Amino acid sequence: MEQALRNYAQNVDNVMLYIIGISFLLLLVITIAMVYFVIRYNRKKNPVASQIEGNKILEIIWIVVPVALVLTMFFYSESVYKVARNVPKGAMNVNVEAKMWQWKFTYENGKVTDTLFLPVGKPVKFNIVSADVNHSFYIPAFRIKEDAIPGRENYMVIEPKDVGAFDIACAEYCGLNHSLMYTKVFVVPENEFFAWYNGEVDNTYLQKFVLAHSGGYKDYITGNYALLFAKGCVQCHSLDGSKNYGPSFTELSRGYAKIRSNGKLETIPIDRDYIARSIISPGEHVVVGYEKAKMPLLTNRIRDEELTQIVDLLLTNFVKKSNEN
Amino acid sequence: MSNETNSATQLSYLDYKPKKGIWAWLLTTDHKRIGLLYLIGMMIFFWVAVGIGFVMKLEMLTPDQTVVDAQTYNSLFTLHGLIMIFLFIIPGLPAVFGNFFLPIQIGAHDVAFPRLNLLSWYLYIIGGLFALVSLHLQGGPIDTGWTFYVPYSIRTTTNVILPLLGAFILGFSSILTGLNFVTTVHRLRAPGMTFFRLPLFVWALYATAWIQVVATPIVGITILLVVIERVLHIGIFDPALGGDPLLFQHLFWIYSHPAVYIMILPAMGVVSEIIPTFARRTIFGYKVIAFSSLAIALIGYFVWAHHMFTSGMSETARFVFSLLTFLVAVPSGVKVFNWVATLYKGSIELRAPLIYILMFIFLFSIGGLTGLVLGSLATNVHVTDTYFVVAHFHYVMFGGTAIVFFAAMHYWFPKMFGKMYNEKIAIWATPFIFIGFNMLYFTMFILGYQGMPRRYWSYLPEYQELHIISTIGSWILIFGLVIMFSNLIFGLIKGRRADSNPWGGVTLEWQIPSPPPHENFEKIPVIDHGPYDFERFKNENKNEIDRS
Repeated sequence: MEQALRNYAQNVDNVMLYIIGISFLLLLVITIAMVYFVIRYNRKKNPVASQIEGNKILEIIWIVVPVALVLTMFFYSESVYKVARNVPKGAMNVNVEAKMWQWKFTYENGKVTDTLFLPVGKPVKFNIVSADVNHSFYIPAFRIKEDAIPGRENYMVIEPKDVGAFDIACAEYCGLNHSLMYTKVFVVPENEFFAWYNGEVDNTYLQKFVLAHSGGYKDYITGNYALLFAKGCVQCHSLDGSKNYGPSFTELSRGYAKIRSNGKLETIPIDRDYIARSIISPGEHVVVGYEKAKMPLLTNRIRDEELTQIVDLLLTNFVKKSNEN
Repeated sequence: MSNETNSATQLSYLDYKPKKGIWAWLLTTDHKRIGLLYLIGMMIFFWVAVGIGFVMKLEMLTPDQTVVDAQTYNSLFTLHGLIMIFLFIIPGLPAVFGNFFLPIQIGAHDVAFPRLNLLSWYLYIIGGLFALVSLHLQGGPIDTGWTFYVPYSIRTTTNVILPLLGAFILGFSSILTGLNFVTTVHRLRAPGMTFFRLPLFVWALYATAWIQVVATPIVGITILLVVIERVLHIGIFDPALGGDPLLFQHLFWIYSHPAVYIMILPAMGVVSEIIPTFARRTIFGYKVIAFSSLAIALIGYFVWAHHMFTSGMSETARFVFSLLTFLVAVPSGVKVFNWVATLYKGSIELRAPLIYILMFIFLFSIGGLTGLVLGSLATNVHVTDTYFVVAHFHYVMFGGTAIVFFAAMHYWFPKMFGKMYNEKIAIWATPFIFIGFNMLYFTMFILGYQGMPRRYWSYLPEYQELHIISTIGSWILIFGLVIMFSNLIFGLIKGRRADSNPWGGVTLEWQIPSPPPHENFEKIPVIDHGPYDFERFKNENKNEIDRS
């Protein structure tokens, strides 16, 4: 049973192969028969058709055989899937909260992350909830997903087999930035995981570990701006001045912002305080021209040190850049 | 039965004008004219939705923004789905070819309720206008996806209510057409036309009509509940108001799964007409095909929740719905076997309509067989809500229903208009459609299995190669469609006159002049034979061939 969960992805692929294999054969038979008949019984070769009304035995065969075939598919698939619905004893619990358009993972000891870290070879039970609309927690490499539905808690079980980094996607349409709701799961050996879990090492340590021990992984979220990607900022605020739902970060380089505050137009200088307040209570000051799309509240989504990091990042990379020039 | 005397004494439905000018069309109660009215509306909507699909595929050329932003893309895929499903594929074959040929094939002057039939068309147009008007209002076009899943559809600021009401009105169009067809089949069959002498297209329309009557009210009620929830904030589906989002999904699919059989069953009926005509032999397993339509219509009611395997339903529900889903695949498979068997020892003439049907059998088989992957629990939870589903759906609905729609256009064109299109060009369009189609959609099976979710405006760079192939496929496909449609339109204007029976068909529509006279039959025929009794018509057919 334990082995079965660990090899779940492989087993799903086997079911796929079984179904596709049989389907391919059926398709081949149908197509060959069809093409052969069309050629063989062409009007030139066969000017007079035989009026065959049917054949009871054939009809019975092609009802019974497909029924039998699909039943084997059903039971095979069912037996594989059952494993993924059975929560093993001692499984680690991770609460998954989906929200437009980011993920929040809460561990048993209260640790909160937006990237998922898991120990290799240990069963994990995800308790999946949504803070707003429907989402779906999907890890393609593990061949499994389960919807996050507001007002109810769904669950999903996996057991990571190998060290590595794998994509997590949202598979249920959830509005504007549905396609950007990606994050990653980093699977590391138990020792490393618990070192992290107990606060001895940080996220970056585990990410570097995976990079070094799994032959690398493709990460589209790299460089200085990792935090801006992880928190979903860049979904609406571009890094290069291009127009989006929120003002581009490059607009910070002006040093001042034209804003609307309680309906009044104002011009205020851009400083540490302005940036921090814009992140924590986005509704307070809205940059003129961007009133239409409201920025979502980040309540409980951003820790104090992360906020400081983001503000520093923006100050150094966008605000100060222009001052130097 | 002599065609020549008929045409001399009776005006064709195109020439018979009881009212002046445009009113002869807009106030007509002739089932054939109403069929054409639907055809005109449908072709407009179809090409709008094809255009939207073209832009969507263009956007998929690169992982990031190519031509439209995320909000626009979300509206585009919603509109593409809404228009194709509610305005093209659901009304599709029944409204156009069902209206035109059902009364003729059973030997009737018209449908049972001709005025109700016209009302259905007006409801169809009004429903479509609701959707179109909503595009231009404050808030912008709807962006919920054609599934309207709550709570998103309750909370989005785009225009949801108007398109929803549009779908509600279209539902009534569908219900009334279904009611009309059920009554027509029961009450207006010609003397001697027993149920087992009905052409299989009629059987398919009959099974479809029952689904329309019984299932459509459920989506109507569901839509009203969403509107009530949005306007009055009464908690029904949105958990923030105390509602249950899964209740919506159940209600939605209780209609929308049977609805896919509304979409495909009539197409299966058309296939059962075209193959015997070009193989010049009776259909293989008439009763099995007829009953499998009813079986599909019936079992089709009990599989809806296979759209919801990852929604958090109980394990028992997942088990039962998966099992039933596998069983509903069987009657469709049986139909395919019987069609192929009908080619056996036929005397096959490979004309344009049959080529479209052969293409259908191949594409529909792929669509049906990949349905098994989706019915199976283990594979479903991996590929559901990915491009795999998009590919499967397009193989079944485009490769299935739409290709048959094209076949039907080519098959019945000479009968409907009394003119003939250029058949060589019609055949030349098929390789473009076939190759373009497979490039466009087969790549999506692979993308889906690799884990690309659907309804994604941007995607991971590793998927780009397949997307490029897919987008190029869309261009080839559209090129093929343009050739095909231009050829038909050209045939409509300049085509040579067609015989009353150019293919040598034996169902009743081929025994009357082309185009059919105003009330179809001068004298209602008396039926004493099965629908595909080629032995009986052998001599008459020979005459037809000699003349052409």
